[in-house]
Amino acid sequence: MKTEEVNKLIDKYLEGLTSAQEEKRLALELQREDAPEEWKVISMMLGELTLGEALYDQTLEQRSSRRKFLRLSWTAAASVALLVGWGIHSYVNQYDQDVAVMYVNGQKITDEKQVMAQSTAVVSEIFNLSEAPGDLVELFNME
Amino acid sequence: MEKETFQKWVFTLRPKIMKIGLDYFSSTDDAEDATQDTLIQLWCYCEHIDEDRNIEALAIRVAKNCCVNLKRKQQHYFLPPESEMTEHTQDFSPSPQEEMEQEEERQILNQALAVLKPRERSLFEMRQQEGLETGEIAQKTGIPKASVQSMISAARKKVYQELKKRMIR
Repeated sequence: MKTEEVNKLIDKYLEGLTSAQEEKRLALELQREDAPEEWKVISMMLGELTLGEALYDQTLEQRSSRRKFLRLSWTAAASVALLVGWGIHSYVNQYDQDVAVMYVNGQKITDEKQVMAQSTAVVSEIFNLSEAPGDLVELFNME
Repeated sequence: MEKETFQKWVFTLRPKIMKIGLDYFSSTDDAEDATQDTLIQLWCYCEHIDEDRNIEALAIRVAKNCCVNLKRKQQHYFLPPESEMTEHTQDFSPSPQEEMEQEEERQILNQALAVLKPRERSLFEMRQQEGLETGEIAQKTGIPKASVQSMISAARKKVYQELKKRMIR
């Protein structure tokens, strides 16, 4: 808190307008080593109990925000670990996916059983042909 | 408040004070020590406490103060040799000289408070010792909030002038 702000708070204190919370904050601010004599007078008026309570509350607040920070750090670390794990899993498994792929009339089929059934049907159809189809004859110059 | 009345209060106050100690130290032994210190201080001071005062609010503030002082004493006890001292392990507990100065300051403050009218002094102390908000004081005393505020302001300004006369030359 800047000196001007402390002085404004002192004026507010003397007018009886400060809250208990503001008085605790003021008690802490007045502990500066280079505090002017007037500040020491106000510090005396606020009393040891106000300063003690302010220091107690400050310690508990600091401890609570440290805990919050640790909890956040752990959450962030866990999220990163989860993301990395998911990435590795996806990378490793990408080659396992779509092992059986077939396009039938422009439609992609990935179900292994369906692909096998279609393949078998096509193969048996080819073996059952007495003549090669016209487009294949043309393609491979099978005269 | 008479010692007998205070003894009855002890049963109500003890668990509350203990909780304050436990929140601060997380150690039952330290919390017990802080509770003992608090009760001793209140016991020594109880004859100066009016029965209509909020003893619970006062006890809580004294307890918090005792926790902070006990922690300082512990830091002093476990202080490493001077060569190993860092800014985190410096001793902030008052030296005998500082304690003497504090006592002197208390006396000066008491002299300054003597200039207040009884009602003003009572309101000043309700705020300073029990940490009550203006609204709470108004509710407790039956005085309108605006009047409480202006009486506290007048009391503070008188004490401030009085202390300035005595302390700043």
